[in-house]
Amino acid sequence: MSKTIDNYNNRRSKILEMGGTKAIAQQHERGSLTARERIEYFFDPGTFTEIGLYVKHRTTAFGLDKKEIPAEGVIVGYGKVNGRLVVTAAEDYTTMAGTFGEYHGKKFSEAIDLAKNMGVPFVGMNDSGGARLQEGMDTLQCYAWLFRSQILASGIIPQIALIMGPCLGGQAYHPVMQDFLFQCKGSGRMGIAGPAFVKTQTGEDIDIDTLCGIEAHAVKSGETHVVCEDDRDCLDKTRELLSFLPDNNKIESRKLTYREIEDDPERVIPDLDTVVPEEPYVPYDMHEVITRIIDNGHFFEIHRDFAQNVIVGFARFGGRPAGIVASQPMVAAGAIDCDAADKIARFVRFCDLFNIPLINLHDVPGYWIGSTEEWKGILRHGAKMIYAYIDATVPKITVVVRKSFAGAYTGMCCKDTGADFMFAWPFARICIVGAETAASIIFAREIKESDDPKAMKEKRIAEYRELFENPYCAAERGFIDDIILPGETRKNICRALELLENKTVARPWRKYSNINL
Amino acid sequence: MANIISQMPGKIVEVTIKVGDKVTKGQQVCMIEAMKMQMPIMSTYEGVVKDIKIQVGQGVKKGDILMEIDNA
Repeated sequence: MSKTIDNYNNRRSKILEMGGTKAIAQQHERGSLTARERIEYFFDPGTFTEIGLYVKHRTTAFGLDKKEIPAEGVIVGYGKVNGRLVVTAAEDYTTMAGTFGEYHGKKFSEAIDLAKNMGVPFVGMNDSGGARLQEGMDTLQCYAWLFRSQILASGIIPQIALIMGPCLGGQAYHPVMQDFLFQCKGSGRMGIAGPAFVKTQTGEDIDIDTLCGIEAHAVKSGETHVVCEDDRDCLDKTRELLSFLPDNNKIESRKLTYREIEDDPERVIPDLDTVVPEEPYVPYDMHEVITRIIDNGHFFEIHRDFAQNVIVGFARFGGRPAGIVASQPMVAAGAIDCDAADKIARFVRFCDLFNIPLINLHDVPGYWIGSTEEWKGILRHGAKMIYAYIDATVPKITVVVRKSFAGAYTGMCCKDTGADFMFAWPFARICIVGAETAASIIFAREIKESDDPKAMKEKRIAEYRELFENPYCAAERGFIDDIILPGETRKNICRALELLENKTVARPWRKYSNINL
Repeated sequence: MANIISQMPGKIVEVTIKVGDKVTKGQQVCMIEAMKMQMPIMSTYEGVVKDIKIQVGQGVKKGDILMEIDNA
C-alpha cells in the first residue's frame, strides 16, 4: 500500500474513533449510544454518506491549537430511512462533550441548508455540553447561523429534534424551533439554563431532572412532543413519524396501498355506538373512538402527556396519512384551555404546511372560562386555533361525536371556519350555548316573575333543547352535511378524503396572517 | 397520609364516601361538575378517609385538596 493511502487510512480511522475508547465507554455507561451508533441504527443499512469528516476548528486560545476534536463533535450526512432520503447532524458527546463551536455550528447549520435545498427531512440528534466558550463570539455567531438555517427551512422540510443528551442554554432554542421534539428519558435534558446557573442567578435550588427532564417538558412546558424510553426507542419512533410525513412542502405524504394497510376504507364499526355514552355529562376516552376509525388502529400521538384535554396525532384513512385533532372528554371535560389551544394551533399549522389533511373530532363544551384562563389569555390563545384552521388550505373534515358548543364549535373547525365536510352523530348537540344557559338568559324575567320559577325554567330549557340542542337543526341550515351513524364514521371520512385529494384553494397574496402569537 | 387533589375546577355534585371509610385505589370518592361534564374523582391511594374538605354544592379550584387519606 502506498504511503499516501496509508496516511489517508490512518487519518480517517483516527477521526472515526471519535473521542476514544474511554469516552465511548462512559457514553455506554450512561445508557446512551454514541453518535455513530445512533446513525448506524437509524439509517437503512449501508446507506449513510458522511459530509465534512475532516472539518476542524481554527481556535488557538486556551490550548485548543493542540486539541484534536474529531469531526468537530458533530457527524453530518445523509442516508435512507425506509428507502427515503433524510439529512442528519448527530452531536458526538464523546468528543469534547459535543461542545458547540464555530465549525461545529457551521456543519450543523449547513446540514439544514442542504436538507432544505434538496427538499428532504432533517433529523437533528442533540447531545452536547453546550457552547464552546473558548471560541468566544465565533460560537455565538454560529448559534445565529443555526437558528437562521432552521427557520428559513421551516415550512419547507419537516425538521425533527432528538434530545438524547444535554441541550442547555441558548442552544436549546434550536430543538424547540424544529417541528417535533423527541426527548429520551433519563439522558435527554433541555433547558434555557442548568441548575448551577439558576442557583447563582436566582437562588433557586433545583436538580437537573426536575428542571430539565421529561416531566418538565413533556408534561409541564409542552416543549417535548414525544417521550422515548432510550436512544433506540427514540430512533424507532422517529422512523415511524417520518412515515406519515412528506419529504417537503411541495409533495404529499406517501399513501399506503390497500395491500399494505389491509383495512377496508368502507369498514363499518358496529361497536362504536357503545363507546360513547349518550348522556352528555358522562366522560369517556376519545382514544377508543380514534383507534376504531383509523387504519389498523395505528395512531402516532403527539403531545400525549401535555394538555391532555385534547388529543392530536397522525393516523391513516384508507392509506392516506392525516392529522387528527380530537376533544378528550375524560380530561377537564374536554374543554379548551390556553395550553390545549396552543397544542392544536401548532399541530394544525404543521399539517397545513405539509399537505396533511385534518380530521377533527368534537366533543367539546367550549373554551375554559373563569379567572385562571381569562388572565392567562384564553382569548388570544384560543384565537391561534381559529387563525390556524381558517388559514389552512388542506382538506379538513369534522365529526361532531357528542357535543360542540359555542366558541369551540368555530374554534375546532366548523364548516364556516374551514371544514370541507362536517358530519354529526345522531345524539350530537350542536348549539351556541347549552339549553340551560340559553333559557335562563332569554327567559330570565319570565322565570323570575312566574308563580313556579323552577317549573317555568325547566319548561323553557326543554323547549330550547328540543329546538336547538340536536344535530337536525344544524343540518337543516347546512352547517352539517350529514347526520351519520357512529359506525359509518370511517366510511364517510375515507370517501370525503378521496374527493378532497385534489382540492385547490386560491387566495390573494399577502405576506402572512397576523396570528395571535 | 396522602391528599386527593382536584384535577379540574368545578362544583362538587356528589360525595360518595365518608370519614372513616376504607378506600381502594381507583375507587370513586366524589363527583365534580364543570363545563357540562360530571367528572368522577377516584382515589389515587389506598387507605382510610381521615378528612373530607368539601361538601356538595361547593366550588373547587384545580389543585385544591378534596380529602385526606390515612395509612397511605
